[in-house]
Order: sequence, then structure tokens, then C-alpha cells
Amino acid sequence: MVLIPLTYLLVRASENGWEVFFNILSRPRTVNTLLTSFALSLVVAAGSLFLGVSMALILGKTNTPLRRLLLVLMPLPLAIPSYVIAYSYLAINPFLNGFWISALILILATFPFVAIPTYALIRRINLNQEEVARTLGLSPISVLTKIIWPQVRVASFAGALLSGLYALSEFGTVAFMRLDTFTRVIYTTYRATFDRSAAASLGLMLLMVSLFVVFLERRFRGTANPSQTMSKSGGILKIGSWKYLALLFVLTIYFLTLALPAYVLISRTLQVSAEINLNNILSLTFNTALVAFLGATIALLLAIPVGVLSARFNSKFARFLEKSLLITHALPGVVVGLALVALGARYLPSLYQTIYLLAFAYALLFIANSLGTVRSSLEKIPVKLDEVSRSLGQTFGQTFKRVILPIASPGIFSGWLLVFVTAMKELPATLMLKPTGFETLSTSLWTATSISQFAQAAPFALALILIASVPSYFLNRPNLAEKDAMRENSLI
Amino acid sequence: MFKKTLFVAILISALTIAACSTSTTPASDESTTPSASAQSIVVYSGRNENFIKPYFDEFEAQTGIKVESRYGDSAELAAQILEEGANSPADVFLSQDAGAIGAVAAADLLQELTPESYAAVPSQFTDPSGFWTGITGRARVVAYDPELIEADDVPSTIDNVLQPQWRGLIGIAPANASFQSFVTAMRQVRGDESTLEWLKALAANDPVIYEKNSQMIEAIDAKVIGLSLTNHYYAYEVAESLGKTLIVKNGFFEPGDVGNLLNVSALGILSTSKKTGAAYALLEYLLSVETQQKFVSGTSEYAVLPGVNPPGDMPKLEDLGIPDVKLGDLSDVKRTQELLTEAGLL
Repeated sequence: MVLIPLTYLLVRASENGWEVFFNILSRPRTVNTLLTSFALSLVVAAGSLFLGVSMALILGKTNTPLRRLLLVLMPLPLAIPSYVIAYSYLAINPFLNGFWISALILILATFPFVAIPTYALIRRINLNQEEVARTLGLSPISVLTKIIWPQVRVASFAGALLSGLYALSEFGTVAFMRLDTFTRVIYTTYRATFDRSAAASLGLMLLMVSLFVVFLERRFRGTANPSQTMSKSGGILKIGSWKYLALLFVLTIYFLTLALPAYVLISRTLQVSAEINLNNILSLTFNTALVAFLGATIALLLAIPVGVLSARFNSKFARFLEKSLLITHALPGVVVGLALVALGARYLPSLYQTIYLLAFAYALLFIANSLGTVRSSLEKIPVKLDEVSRSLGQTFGQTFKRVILPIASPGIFSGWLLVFVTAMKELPATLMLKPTGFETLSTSLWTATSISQFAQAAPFALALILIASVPSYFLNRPNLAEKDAMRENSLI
Repeated sequence: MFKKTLFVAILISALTIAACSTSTTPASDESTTPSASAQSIVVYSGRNENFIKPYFDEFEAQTGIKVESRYGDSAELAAQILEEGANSPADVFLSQDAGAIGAVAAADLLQELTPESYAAVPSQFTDPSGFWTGITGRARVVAYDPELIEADDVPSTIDNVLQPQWRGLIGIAPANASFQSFVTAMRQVRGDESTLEWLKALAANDPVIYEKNSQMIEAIDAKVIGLSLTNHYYAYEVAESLGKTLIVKNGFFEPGDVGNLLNVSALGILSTSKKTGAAYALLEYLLSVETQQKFVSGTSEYAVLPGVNPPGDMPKLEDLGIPDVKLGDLSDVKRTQELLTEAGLL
């Protein structure tokens, strides 16, 4: 399934002969933009790692006030198309441009990839270990580095990888900030020459860069600690008056990533008296949510088997499967879109331009977002539980349903949520694969912003944020087991 | 347990709703006789929905033919049609510029239009081989900041843009189709070598590179740059969407200068379409005098029909000083892109 875009790229690229491929590869601009993209990817991954872990720690492990509310906001930056954030920054200061501001925007837009899984793991950290550490006299900082970090490290790095791959595929922000990246080369090749073969060659090069990024992440992330005994969890560190600084930090981040764009959009709406058609927005919201829902579910149905394979069997095949799903994430939506157009129009005409193929495209594009959380939530379950269940006579299927699934479900649900939120704002593949006449919030947003009608655009952007906050609210409510644990530790 | 059941319930209802809603969208290959009794046509439109949909709605009110329209970037739509090939559901391609539609024509995916259907359009705005026709005109201009530059000091020829006083002040959008059409036109008039020299000299003058034309207009208004090579209607479009008057003004080069290129939005009918009758009805509607006048007053574009008034305070079509360029040949954008890359602008 993941071979679809790859096959497409190989077929198109080879149409013009491989000399053309090497010709393009050797152009100075190609090399420059590849390096720029690669550098951007690394900086965004590192920045997102730092910011995401900080946010998760502050909201998950400290007694900073307003935690509950701030948690609900955490996935929301993923719901806003990054070009909207870029545009609003430009509206405040039209002189902004270049590498560092692009990196900053992308970090702000993708830190939830790190923050969400890290937070989920932090909430499950074995309290016994912490208590032992503290009785042994370790300072909070040491608890952090010696106990907490090793356990969340894998999930955090997986999230940082997603940020890095996203930075490779992203086009809107770098276009506004006038940064010449490799995706820009791909886009201009498609737009200017309709030469799908040259653009396909470039797509292959991008895949190779992303493979390298994935490889780097594997080297740095270390190994998971799978068999933790599941006991008390959820301890809170009291950090005294540092908590106000922490609160300020979190609020600043949310301001930069949510409040500022909202402010710009709303103020532009007020400048022009635009009529807001509520009926229209409701039906667009429904459409958007529907396809994103289907896409996220398909993605999850595919991610769970892969996660089980990785977590339980850790075979070469499982690792290969994961890697290939991840690098698809680095492909710009236009490439995956055209691959599916070619497939759909020529071989599956009854599915072409239906919401099912579109949902499948979303699953393909974003399944990477759920792999990390699914895998780490499955890894957390001690193998002993499986073995006990099997020795009591349950089959693997029953074990899965009655033992593994309930424990892993918060992680699985957050994986689903990540795909859902990012699918809602997807644009290029949606434009090509959606049924004619079927509009989503993201296509309507694009329609308005491409002719600078930002007043019309504002309600759509705000609606995107609102829908994203619904599942996000459910994600962060502690479930019953956690509530018991917290009561035990007299934290409620 | 409750959460899981809720989740499953939502999933099942979502699937049912999805199945129902897709079964009510009409199949695009209803086999009716290819005459004007066809109920609907599928249009792939590179023209923005907010601009063109009112026209489609009026067309439906007048003729009863429903337009099912798909919107996107003209070049991406062209790439999509090329990928779809003979299985394309599109009947009509409405492109924002001549380049994109030229590529589709070159792949033999358009049918030759009957001469009567576009007889009223001057030949300089149509495809010499007859596969597409222009619908509206888009003039290249030099947009500028009148507080910084006096009207008389605006560069009078495209070569004057290369002068040192404009260093770092010029905005261009080299990835944009309109700019590339302009460079292709220059190649037609001056030849590839001379064009490459001009591009290199421009690159040496530190132009500020943008992705979109509307960005450049906003940049002029914010005084980030002083002038830009763009299309005439962006000044109106951006002013309207921001809801305020901009300082930006449109300036022109000497008559006949290649910088005054007039590009066209164009319509072609797919050769695989079974609804040619309805497609020609749409063409007739778009080329009618009333509709052409609406293009002028509604979106500030030029009409291709002679005798229709120009938009806003723009000069008449005849007075624009358009260079003598064959629009049909502007689809050879590949070589243009190579030159731009060689000059370091792309």
C-alpha cells in the first residue's frame, strides 16, 4: 500500500530516462535546496523536541496552575494550516522572512507531535521508582534526567521525527517566508512545466533525504524500556514559585501559535463587513469531520497491526514497514495526490473522486503520525500480562481484546487524534481527490486566502480549531484507573 | 466500555452517512444524447471559486445546465488532467493562463473548437490551432508606490528595470505562471540568448522574490519594496479583500514593450467529453457581451471581445500598447524555466 507513491514516482521518473534524473541532481540549486530542506528538518525536529518535552513536563509533572485547560489546547496548533500562521506573522511584520522564522513557525506548529505522546507516557511513569529515587535523596532535576527522561525518550524522539519529516514536506510557510527549499523546487517544476517526470525525480530525492532523517532518529533515540510493572502513576512535582514562570512560558507559546493567528484573522474580518453563512460553515464542518474521521480510522486499523508487530516481535520486516510508512510522511501532498489520481482514474474508476479514496489518501499521508504513539503504548504493556492471559487459556485475539486494547487505548486514541487533526487541514491531495462539489473547511479556506479574502477565511480557520478541540478534550481527561491512582496518592 | 461503544456507534453512523451521501451525487457519466438536453457538465476551473461561481450559477439559471466544478491551481489541474488521461471526468477546462491549457492541448486531450463558437474573439487571443480560446484578458503592469516613485520616473521600458536605482526595490514572482508567460513572450520577441542576459542582469539587481502576486501588492503598500512586475487586477483585488484603499498604482511601459504583455484566461473542451453541446453553451455564455461586461466590472479583468469598456481607470485594450506576441506559443514554459534557473532566479 505504501508502495503506491513510490511506484508512481519510479514510473514517472524513469519516463524521461535516468540521465535527466542525474542531470537535475547535479544542478547547484538542487543541492542547495536539498541542504536547506535537510537543515530545516533537523532544526525543526530539535526545536520541537525541546519545546514538546518542556510543555509535556510542565503540564504533566508540575503543579503549574490551569493545567487542565492548557492541556486541552495542546493538540490545537496541529489544526491550523501552517500557512495561516505564516500569513498572520507577515501581517504583523511584513519584513519577516528566511530560515529561522520558518523554523520557528514550523516548531510552533508541530510541537504537539512530541508533546502529546510524551505527556501520555509521563502520566504513566511508575511512581514507585520516583519515590525510591527521592528517598535516596535525588534532586528533582536528577529524577528528571535519570528516571523520567529514559522512559519518555523513545516517544519524544518519535514525535520529533514527525516534526522533521513534516518540515521536509511543508510548502505554505516556506513560500510565505520566501525560503527556497526542496519542496519549492518540486512545486515549481509541477506548476511551470507540467513535467511530472522531472518532478517525480525530485520526489524520489526527497524520499532519500527523509530516509536519512529517519536513520538519524533511530540512532539517537535509544531503546524502549518495555516491561514496567503497572502500578501507581501520576506523581506531581511541586516546583514552588517557578510555577508562575512555567505558566508564563506555556501561555506565551499558545499566544504565538494560536492567539496571534486568530487575532489577525478576526481583525481582518472586522475590517471588511463579510457576511458569514452559518449553514454553509456547518455543512463544511460536517464534510471535513467526516472524511478526516474515516481517514483516521483507516489509518488506525493499519497502524495497530504494524504497532503490534513492532512492539511484540520487532522483526526486520516490522521495522521496514514502519520506515516506509514514515518516509511517505515526508512527501508533499501534491505527490501523493497525483499518485492516487493516476491509480484511481486509470485502475479504480468507481472509487476515483469519492470520499473513500480521499480517506485512504489521508490514511496514507498521516499514518506516520499514529505509529509512534501506538507502538509505544503497546510496548508499555509488560509481556508478562500476555503470557498470563495465554496461560489462562485465552487466544491471541482474545488477549488482544481484553488485555492489550484496554490498557493501550489512551495511546491508540491519541494516535487516532493526531491523524484526525492533521487530516482536517490537508490541502493539495484533497483538492485533487475529493468528489466534485464536495468542499471541506480546508479547501474553502484555501479558496478565500488565495485571493486574499481573509475576511471570508477567518470563520473557516476558527472552525478548524474548534472541531479539533472536541476530541482533544476527550484525550486529556484522565480515565478511571488514573483517577483511582491519583486518589490513592492524595492528589485529588 | 461506554467510550468504546460510543466510538463504534459514531463509526457506523459515519459510514452509513458516507454511503448515503455518495449515492446521491449524480454520476458524471449519465448517458444522455450529446446535445443541449444534457443536465450537467464537469468543469475543472483554475479560476478561483469565489470569482467564477456566480457566473456558473447564472449560466445554470439561464440554461438549466448544472455546472459541477472542481477548483484548483491551473497547473495542478492540468497535471491532474494529464494523469487522468482518457478517463478524465472533466468536460471543460477553464485555465487561468494560456500556458496550462497549452500543455493539455499538446497532449491531445482537447478537441478542436468549431470556428463559429469563438469567431468574435480577436485571433491574437486564441490558439492558432483552434483547441482553446481566450475568455478574459490579464495585462502585465509595473505596480508601484507613488509616494516613493513619481509617475514620470516609473521605468518606461523593461530594460530600464535593470537600472541601479531600483536595486533591492523590485518584487518579482518567478515561480508564478504569469511571470513565466512574460519571460516566454520575451524569448519569442528577443530570442533565448538575449532573454537570458536580461534575466541575469535582473538577478544582479537584487530583486525580492515572492511566491504570490498578492503578497507583492501588500509589500508595496507596506513599503517593503517599491515596485513589482505583476498583473493589473491584483491592485484592485487586494484592496477589496483588505477593505481599504491602497497606495499602489499600476504603471505601464512604452507601447509595444514586451512588458505590456496581455495574457488570457482560456477555455478548452476535453476530447473525451460526451457533453459537447452543453460545453459549447457554456462557451457561448462566457463570450456573450453581458458576461464579458460583468468580468470587467466584477473582477476588474479585460474582456476579450472588442468594444467592451476597460476595467476601472485602466486604459482601453487598444491603448495598452500590447506587444505583438503569439499567445499560443506561450506554453513552452519548460525552456523558460531552464533560463530562469540558469539566471539564478528560480
